[in-house]
Amino acid sequence: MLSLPWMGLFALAAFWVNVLLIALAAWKSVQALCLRARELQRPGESLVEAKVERGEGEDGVFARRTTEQVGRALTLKGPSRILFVDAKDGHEVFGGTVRVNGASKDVPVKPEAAYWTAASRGVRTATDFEAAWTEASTSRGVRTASVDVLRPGEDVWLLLDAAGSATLVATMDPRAEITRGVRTLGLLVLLTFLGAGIVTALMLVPPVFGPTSTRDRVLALTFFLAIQPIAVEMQDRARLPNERLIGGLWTRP
Amino acid sequence: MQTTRSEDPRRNAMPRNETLLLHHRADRRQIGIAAFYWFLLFGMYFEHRMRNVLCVALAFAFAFLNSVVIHNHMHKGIFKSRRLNRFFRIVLSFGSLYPASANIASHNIVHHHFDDDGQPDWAAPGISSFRTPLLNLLHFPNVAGPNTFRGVTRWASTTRQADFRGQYLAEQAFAFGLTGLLLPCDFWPALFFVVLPQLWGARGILRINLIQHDGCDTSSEWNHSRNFVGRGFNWLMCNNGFHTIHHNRAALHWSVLADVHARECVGRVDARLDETSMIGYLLRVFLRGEREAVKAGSEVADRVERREAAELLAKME
Repeated sequence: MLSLPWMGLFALAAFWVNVLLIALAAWKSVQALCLRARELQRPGESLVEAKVERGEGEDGVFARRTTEQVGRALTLKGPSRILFVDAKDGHEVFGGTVRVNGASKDVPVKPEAAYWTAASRGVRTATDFEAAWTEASTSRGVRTASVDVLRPGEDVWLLLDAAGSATLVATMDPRAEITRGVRTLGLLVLLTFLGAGIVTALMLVPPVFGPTSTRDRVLALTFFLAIQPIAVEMQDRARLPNERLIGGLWTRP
Repeated sequence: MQTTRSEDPRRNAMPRNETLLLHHRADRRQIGIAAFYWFLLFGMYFEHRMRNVLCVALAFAFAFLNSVVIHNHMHKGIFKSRRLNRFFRIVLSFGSLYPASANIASHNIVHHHFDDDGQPDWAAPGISSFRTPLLNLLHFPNVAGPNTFRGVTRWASTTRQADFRGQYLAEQAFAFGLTGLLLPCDFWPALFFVVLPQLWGARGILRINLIQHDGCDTSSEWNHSRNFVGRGFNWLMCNNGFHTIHHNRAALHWSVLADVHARECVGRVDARLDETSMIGYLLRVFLRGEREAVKAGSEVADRVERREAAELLAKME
């Protein structure tokens, strides 16, 4: 017969395997962010803060991120709302002229140049709510896009290689974004181990796997069920700006 | 006057593979799986003598099979009665501690379309990206589970299936309610002999996404899935090893998948994607690390066009 302590050890082992994997995945993401941070400090490369004067793209655009979205009408009670989810995501960096330290500077771009921008900057191409609502109420949903355009007069951070070409264009300080991501993931690792440690200690209080208080049971089960969605949420929040989801909700005006 | 079975006009009018309650006679196996699984769970919970390695191992195996039954039932309800189908969903939900109706969004809609429409599959193989395949196999449900629940919740808020939310809620209430009832009555046995198998089953069906699609070309018409073609395995798994044909023709009943796979897939599917044994595959890939990617070029546009044409045809019919 399988005794409760044996089953308990088996359950604890399975619990810790998953806890360690969640922490390991977070650590792996930290390493990826640190690698990106080191790329910002490579010899010969420089990160500069500038103001866009002119872009090489259409209408003087310096860079553009386009995220295709599918919107569906909410069928819940309340005001009419369209919920958007992201589909294909892409960006174009055109380069142009920027003002750095009071002087104009032409900035060509590398073909692989990335564009980091805040999700909140995107503007939806669909502007007529009623027309969008009609389509969003079908099973196919309404197809639209969130477009973020970097225009003259806006602040920009540029990572320039030795030849002066941009390999990264950002609407925010990339170092701050990376630091924020590392902090979020560090907190996740800490939370994971702390929570798992407390749960393990509670379960191993003598008599081991004997009667426990309702509080301890609820705490242990809650942690076990909650740590996975929390980890996924925090991993999402720690993503680099160009990988972050945009989504969005559009309420009838 | 008493009628004999052969004289019962209702039975005589039925096609041979039907029964009074079931569309397919073969679905008795699925009911048997669910019933035996319940017997194991409650047997171990109430009867100390059943708390042994054999019963625990069987409970874990049948927990996974319970999720397979959920999968099949959500593709094609096994009962002729709509009410019975809904009731069976509730029963199955307890076995895997997740609402069976979640499969409508997560599997039938999102997973079966892969990322053809630009929206990622919530359980795509790439969501766990350790270099060691075994770690991915272990960790996969930790990401796919929350992704799926988040996605289903989002989908549920926009669905036009009027009765979805009520059914989804009923399944959650029963699955979590009954489990929640067992836990305070006898905590450790409930946790070890009921909740652990439930979670194993739920996490197992998520893992199968990795096993069946890792290294495959999901943009391909025929090489998007890995098949496990062993006869004994498929008898137990209700033919869920034949995954290519299941994806391509999701409306087919599971009992005919072996024949249709032999007729339509053999010769078209890359031979490397037809595995005889899942255990052999797991040992080779996830323990020995012999992972192989099968790429067959992009056929997305063709498949999307074909799917749209089929949908149009179905509407016209």
